[in-house]
Amino acid sequence: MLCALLFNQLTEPVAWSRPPKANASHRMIVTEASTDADNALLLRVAAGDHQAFSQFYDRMSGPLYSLALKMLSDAHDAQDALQEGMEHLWRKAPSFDPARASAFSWSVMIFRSRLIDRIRRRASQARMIEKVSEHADVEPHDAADGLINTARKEDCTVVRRVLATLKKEQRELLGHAFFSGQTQQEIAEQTGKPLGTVKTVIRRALLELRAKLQREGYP
Amino acid sequence: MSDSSQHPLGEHAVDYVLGHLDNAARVQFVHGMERDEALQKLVAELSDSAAAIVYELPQHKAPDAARDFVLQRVQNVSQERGAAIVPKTPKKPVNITSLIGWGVAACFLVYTISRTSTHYAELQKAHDQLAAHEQRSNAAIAAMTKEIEAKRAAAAAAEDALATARQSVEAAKAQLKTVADESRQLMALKDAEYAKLLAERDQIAASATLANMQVATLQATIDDYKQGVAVVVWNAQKKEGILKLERMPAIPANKDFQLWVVDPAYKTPVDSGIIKVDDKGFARVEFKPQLDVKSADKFAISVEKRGGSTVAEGPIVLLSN
Repeated sequence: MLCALLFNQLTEPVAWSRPPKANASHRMIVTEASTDADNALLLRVAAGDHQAFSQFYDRMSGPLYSLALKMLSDAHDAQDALQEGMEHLWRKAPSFDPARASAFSWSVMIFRSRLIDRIRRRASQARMIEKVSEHADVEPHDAADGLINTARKEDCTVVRRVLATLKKEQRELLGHAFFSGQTQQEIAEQTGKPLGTVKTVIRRALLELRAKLQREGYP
Repeated sequence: MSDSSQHPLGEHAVDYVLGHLDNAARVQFVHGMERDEALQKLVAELSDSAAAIVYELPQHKAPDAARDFVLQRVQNVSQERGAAIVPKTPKKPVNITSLIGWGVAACFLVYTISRTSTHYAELQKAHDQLAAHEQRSNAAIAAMTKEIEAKRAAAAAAEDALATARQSVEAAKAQLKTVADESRQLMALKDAEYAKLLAERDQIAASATLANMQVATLQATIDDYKQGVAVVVWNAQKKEGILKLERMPAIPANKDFQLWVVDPAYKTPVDSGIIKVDDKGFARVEFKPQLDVKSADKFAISVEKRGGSTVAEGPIVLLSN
């Protein structure tokens, strides 16, 4: 058990504390309500509440399944990953600390980590990554139909608007880094850009995204 | 943006959140984060931002089958846990087979716990080693930083000293140039004085030479030689002289004129060499007596056999006073 905990700590990103809240606004209030609801649900899940997990699943499965589809490029694999991942979240729920992360971030980052592990296990990794890259910038944004609650849809709108303000290279490389599961060295080799450039652009892109989202009152 | 945006490990935080750190770096980062609230906050914010990227994706509804599967699985997991915690099996009579089975299971459990504990201990040890390594690295960095600062200070001091030394050298150069100029002027004066002294010395030497010069006129002792003129200039210091003859009469071919110096120190005149006279009776010879003359009292010319004699034998034809 101790080994498992330590292993998880070593392999999965952990959100350690909550950022300060931005100035009050309608959007922020809606988002906070959504975040608080997610957190409350996950705490109940941690206590073994099946009904809460059912609701938690309904709130999280859309974004997580969309992420799995994006990263795995295969509906069957994505469904399998979602099933395995949601069960994993159920098991890990007792380690969730709302003082250190929002339920949404915690779930996405843990789920993404497992997707990356899955990608690396796959024999057709290289072919699959290429496929992801090809589709990385061409898929049109839909109307967030997969999101079932209003706050989540509003978050989606804000994030897309903010992401659109990043430079094209930042957007491409950050998306690549987040969705492909590749190392920075692999990204550099695939994009033909110098490793130093890749590192710098990705780091600055995420820091800039964070600053802009905070100005928008997200999360 | 929070104050943590300028955190020195900001870039590492991004790499950590995106899973771009290798295992060793990740362990070290997590260890450092435990003691750094600002870093924890930054990581949390970056995680929120990274997770938000999911919203960029076209949102899809998860298949209904997945929902049923997951909820059923979770239900099963809970039941398995509950079953493990609260065994519902009724008490049965104990039989030896089941005891062996439980014994094997217990052994396996003990073995598993032992392995797990060992693994945990190893991980803990690795963690502690990394922490110690980090601490040593930080200490080494601090020491190196201190050393670099000290060297920088020493270099600055050396630079200042060099500048001061340069100034001193420049001042010394200027002083030396002045001294050299003065020396040159002094040397010129000394040279002039020296030249003057040399001139004076030469003058004195010339005077001294003249003082040592003795001029003697030789008179004929025989009538045949009364037209002849003979003058000797004798340098007493150098003990040598010049003889000049004019209008000397011709003598037989088997005869030679011979010059003699009379010195009281010797019983006989000192041979000073034969004199060849040209057809006009003229001769000019520089001579040096055969012996060391102390005092040249008189000079004499005699007619000797051809080639001269060691002792005067022929008649003296000319004699100084």
